[in-house]
Amino acid sequence: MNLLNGPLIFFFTLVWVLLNQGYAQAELLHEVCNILGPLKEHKSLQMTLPNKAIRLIEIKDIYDQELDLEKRAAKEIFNLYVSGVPNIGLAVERCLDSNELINKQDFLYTLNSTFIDESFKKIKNAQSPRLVLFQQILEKKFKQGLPVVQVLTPTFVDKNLEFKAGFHRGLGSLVFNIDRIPASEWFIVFIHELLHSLDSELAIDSEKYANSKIPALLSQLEIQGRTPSSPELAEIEAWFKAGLGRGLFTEYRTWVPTLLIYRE
Amino acid sequence: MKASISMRRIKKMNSTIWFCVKSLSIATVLMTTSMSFAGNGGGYAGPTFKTVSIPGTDDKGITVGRVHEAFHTCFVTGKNGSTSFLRQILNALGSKQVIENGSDVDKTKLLSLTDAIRSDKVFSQPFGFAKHDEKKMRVSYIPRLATRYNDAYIFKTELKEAVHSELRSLQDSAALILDIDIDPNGGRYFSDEELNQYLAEENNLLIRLNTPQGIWKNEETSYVMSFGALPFISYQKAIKNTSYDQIGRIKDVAQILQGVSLIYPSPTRNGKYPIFSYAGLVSQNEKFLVTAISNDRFVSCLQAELQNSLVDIPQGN
Repeated sequence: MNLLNGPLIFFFTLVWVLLNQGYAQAELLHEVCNILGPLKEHKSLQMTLPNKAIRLIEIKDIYDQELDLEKRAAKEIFNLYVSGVPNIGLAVERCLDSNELINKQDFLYTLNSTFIDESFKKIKNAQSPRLVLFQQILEKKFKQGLPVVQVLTPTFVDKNLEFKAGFHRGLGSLVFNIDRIPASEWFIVFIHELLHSLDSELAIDSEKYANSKIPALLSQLEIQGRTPSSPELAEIEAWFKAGLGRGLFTEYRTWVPTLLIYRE
Repeated sequence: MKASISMRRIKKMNSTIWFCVKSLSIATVLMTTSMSFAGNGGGYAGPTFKTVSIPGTDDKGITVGRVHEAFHTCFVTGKNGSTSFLRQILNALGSKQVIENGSDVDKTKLLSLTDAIRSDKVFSQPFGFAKHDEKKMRVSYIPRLATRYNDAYIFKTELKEAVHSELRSLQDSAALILDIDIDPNGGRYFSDEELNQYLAEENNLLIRLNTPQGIWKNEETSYVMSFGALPFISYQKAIKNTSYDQIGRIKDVAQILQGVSLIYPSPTRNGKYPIFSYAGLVSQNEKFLVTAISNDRFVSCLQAELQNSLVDIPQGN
């Protein structure tokens, strides 16, 4: 009897959960589509342009308005995300897919820049001493150029990408997979990845570890069946250390300030 | 026996149950996010050994060619139907739409611009243009390249061709010279001699992107390309990437850029840049229509293209 009850309970729980989840997703989709409503309306206005005799100045204003509406919608979506709504990226893309008027790629670009700008604003406005110091260091660093930052929605997510976020050791780029990062973690993840970009040791170790002569040397040693000479061994050891330096050690170096900032 | 079968069933249901629990947690917000997302490789509980065993070949950077492709995609062609920056400029200036209307473009445009000139968004300034043929557009595309790489020249040539192709439909159809000049501070920043030189070129439309600062130079940073007021793509280091086969023979050598970043020639990132377009000769003065364009989409496009041009996925967390 008990054995039969178990599956039944799970079945009904599953149905209940799926219904709730489906309802929640539908609600979210509806909300996101509402946010995109004014932009959609504006785009439909644009469709009528070729049939009208209009002045250049009006056309220019119309494109200006489009960009402003895009930004406004993107900011609302960012606010929705940081308020704790999950799977926002998926909802945005679904809504865009069901809407032929709004250029999906264009909007996703605007969404990307909005997420980055709003997050930087938050850091800039922070009052805690460590964040103020962090902001000062960032400003100094960014004078040499801003890192490549990409906020990933499902379109951009590589199937193999399981990370919530990542810092590319070579390119120095940062990616954030928003549907995998709970809103409560967003800023700390954002700061953590930015801290990686400030880690000078990481750049040195990454360069050393990118030395492909060592894998070739290891391959030769294997084929020739000999043990490495002392200089070779030193090189191999340095290469392994660099591997740790661009992996495990950099995480320790970066997590220390991340946690200190988090505590504040 | 029955018990063992049931156990197997229960085991089989484990994944369903787990899914159920996870879904339940999302729907009812009863479980913490850390529980529902734990073990997915996020690694935010702290460093893990997972980040150690990454092959060295995976995190080298990006080839020079890929950088050029990214720039080309975002500036000229757009990606997946997105609006290229060039198209945005043209849209902002309204030229494409007027031509599509099939109206008497010369007169309409001049009239429209004359009206526009009266508004506060337009200013008049005697820039001392050389006289031009009002029946034709002039195309000139002047990418400013500052690079240590020879293949940047190839980029210049290819991009120029692509831009010409993109603008071909506009030729011979309007009495308008577009002089797109981007300057966060406004004002004048090119000489008559330069302008005359551009106008003397055989091409038909003048698009000039410039900043008062000129090409940025920094001892610590090198530039793959500098393109007037467009964001610069810079890098910290260039390494020669040699790949070997299984027995240690050289397979390929490529220039790889590391520490790639974007530099915005604007006091504020994502600011709107004024664009000046030549509105023709009205009365005795040259007139310029001022519009503004944001580089938001262009920058985001570059970010995505550079990121997606990597062979590997981002490493580490």
